[in-house]
Amino acid sequence: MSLYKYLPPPSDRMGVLWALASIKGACVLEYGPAGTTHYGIESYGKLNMDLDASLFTTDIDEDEVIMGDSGRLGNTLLELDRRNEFSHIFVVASSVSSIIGTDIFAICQEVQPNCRARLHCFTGGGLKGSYSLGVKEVLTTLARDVVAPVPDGARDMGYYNILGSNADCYNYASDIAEVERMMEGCFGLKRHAVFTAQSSMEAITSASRSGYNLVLRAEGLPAAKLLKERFGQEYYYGVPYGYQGTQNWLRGVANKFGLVVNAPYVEREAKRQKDHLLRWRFSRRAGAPLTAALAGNYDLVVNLARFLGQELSIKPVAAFVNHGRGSEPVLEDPAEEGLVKFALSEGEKEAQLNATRPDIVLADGLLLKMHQPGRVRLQVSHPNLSQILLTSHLPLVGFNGAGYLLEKIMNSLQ
Amino acid sequence: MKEVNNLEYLPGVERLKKLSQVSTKKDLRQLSHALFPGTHCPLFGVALTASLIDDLVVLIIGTDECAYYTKRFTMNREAAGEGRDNVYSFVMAEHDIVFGAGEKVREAILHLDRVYGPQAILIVTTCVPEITGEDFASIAISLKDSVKASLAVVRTEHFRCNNHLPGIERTLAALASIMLPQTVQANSVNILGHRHHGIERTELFAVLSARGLRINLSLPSKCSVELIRQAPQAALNIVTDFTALPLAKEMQERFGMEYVYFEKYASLERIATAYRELGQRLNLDLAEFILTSRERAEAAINGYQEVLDGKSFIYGNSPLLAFEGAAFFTSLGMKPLIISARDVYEHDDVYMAEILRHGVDPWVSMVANIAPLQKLYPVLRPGMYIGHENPYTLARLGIAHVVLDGIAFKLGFELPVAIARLAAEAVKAVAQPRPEGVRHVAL
Repeated sequence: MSLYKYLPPPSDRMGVLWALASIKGACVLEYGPAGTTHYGIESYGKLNMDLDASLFTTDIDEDEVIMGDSGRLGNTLLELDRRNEFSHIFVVASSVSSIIGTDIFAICQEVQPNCRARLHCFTGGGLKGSYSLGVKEVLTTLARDVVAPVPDGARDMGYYNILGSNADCYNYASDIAEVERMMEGCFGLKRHAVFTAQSSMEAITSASRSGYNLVLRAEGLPAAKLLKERFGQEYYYGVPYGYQGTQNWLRGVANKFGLVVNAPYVEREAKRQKDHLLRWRFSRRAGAPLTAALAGNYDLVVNLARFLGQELSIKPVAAFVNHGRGSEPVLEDPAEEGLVKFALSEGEKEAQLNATRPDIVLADGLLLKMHQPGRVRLQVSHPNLSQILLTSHLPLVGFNGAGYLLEKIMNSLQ
Repeated sequence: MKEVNNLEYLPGVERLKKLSQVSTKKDLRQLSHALFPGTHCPLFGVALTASLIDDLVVLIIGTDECAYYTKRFTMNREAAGEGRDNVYSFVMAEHDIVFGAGEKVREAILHLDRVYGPQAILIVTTCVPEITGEDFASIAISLKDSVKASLAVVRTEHFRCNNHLPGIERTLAALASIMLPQTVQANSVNILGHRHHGIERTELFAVLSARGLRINLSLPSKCSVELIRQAPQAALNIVTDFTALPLAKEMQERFGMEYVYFEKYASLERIATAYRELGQRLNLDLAEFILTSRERAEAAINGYQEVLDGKSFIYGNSPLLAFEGAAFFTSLGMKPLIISARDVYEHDDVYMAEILRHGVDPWVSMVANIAPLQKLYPVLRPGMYIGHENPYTLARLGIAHVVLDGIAFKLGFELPVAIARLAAEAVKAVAQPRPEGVRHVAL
């Protein structure tokens, strides 16, 4: 039964809007009831993001729903284009426009010859799947239709792009900053475009000038493949959670891109890692084995589970991916296949947590509200109910992220 | 302030009609095709209203997006101590849309009744089930004898109504179905339509309680399902918001209850008239109170008027009746440039005529489309903006900002005095603004 006491899983349409809303200079036009847009705007605050895109709605009424008149969409597109402010307009269907069968793709094709701005359509309307699908569609569309060739075709090998850090990644600001610190410290590379958190149309359009692409979530893989095909940019997929996980990630980046690791940088971090883990093991020398539950986006859940299990000897007993299983995620370890569950219902999550009674819960704000027990309780993912994130110096990824998580766990266990 | 002589050449204004040309909702035009932020939907109106009622559970039938945003809103509301998070949702998947969700919804209602035991369940249909046309009202009727909770159905198809007020109106009206005949208790009244906490702090409450009258319930701001069932025991309904008029009429028809319409008026004359009618219906002698209170209010307002006289204004989204509120500001010697409204309601012609009598004929736009309106501020240079807006935008342009939500709970002569004081303070403060954050939420 699709009955929810708490928040239902966000839809593909919500993923599209969240991914686009953080791009400065993007114009997003929702073709649907104005109230949905207004409601949505008020939810952005809980994502700890700014609405940097210009967001509009056409609104919709009985003329569209009953009489099938879709002239309003074309008129609105032409009006927005006349403002000469936008080079790309992203048209997002609503559930209402999808159900009544409005072909927004055909309408955009008809209007396009009279528009200076390039029109892009997202037709799912919230009926195709969960939010991760919407995020993937945005990343893919940007890579396919927005990133433009640089004038001379030359790439600057001192730069990289990040594919797949979005507003639905709870800690995106600090995590991006940590990746930047590591890429600079280890390889001397600078970040160019982020697809799509804290980003701009200008940066994304010129992403082809970068030498490399880092894919931080599976939803960015189709985009990375497209960029490789179009511009020859190599990409590396992985997320640096944990001490060893980060070392492996840096080695993977180096191998894939043919880069030389800054050995003193890594040695310095390895020394810190050794100290941290020594204190952790000392503190746990007489303690009972610990268990943990995790919840969030796929890459966070899988990689945090590995950090806890393989590096800290904390056994993951529940790992909930908050979205549906996409085509990209590939679990390599058969044990993880049994552990990681996609899009469970509220009841199924509660039942598993009540059965396993984890000591540590690293999860979204909602699961932490639903399940109060646990010696360590830390929010690492969305949905967010109340946390305000202002700074960008508290990552969950990288060496600093591993240290921060371990610190939180140790302090809570005291 | 520079006089603007040729508004016709301003962007978007050519679409609008002048106040003198407005007679129906169709005359309220948008400044642009592209809207931001747009109006709220009736589902939001349901959440605003139903989250105030104890022992009530709301079951939303619709898409995950509608359910997600509404749940988010009620969770925030509960966290802020402003209401209850009493929302559950049945999320329609593609299969439910194509093949129907009736059986599953029936199960969901039975589950809510059995597991949570609410006094009443408000079944709320949204755009998608309204398009597919499933008859959830019949399902509710068929379950009447199978559940302990009272059941009521509210439809919130946004494509048929362009704002959230019909959601409030329909929620209130739907509650009539759970009311039961009662023995009437003298000296008790119901307040219908008051959505703000603190009915006890209002002038109206003080007037009634000082004369021995008891407030039976304030719907929806202070009530429970049990109190709603017993609502017909009051001797009179006092309607303080027009969204409760259909409920009052329904109660009149079903239980023979009379009502007095005591809106959140800004006009002293209309407030005096409402008090007079109240006095007649309740056999209260309010003549002396009306006389002295009105004189006191007039004196206070006159004190603020010299600050406000001659200032131009744009009237945006506010909790007052748009044209009645704009008429009040115009009566203070202020000049309306643009009035935003969400509909043309009964009696609005009276308020419009009052504005026109001052020799002004402002443009009228549909409410909740701030983006194109903002482009007009530097050209129109209004002295004041009344309603929800970004305070930083207005402060940068030296425009006084008046948000009426904080005083919208007031009822009686206290309201126009508070409005005039707020407006005068805003004008004085415009040199040193202290923005308090963006407000888009309509109350």
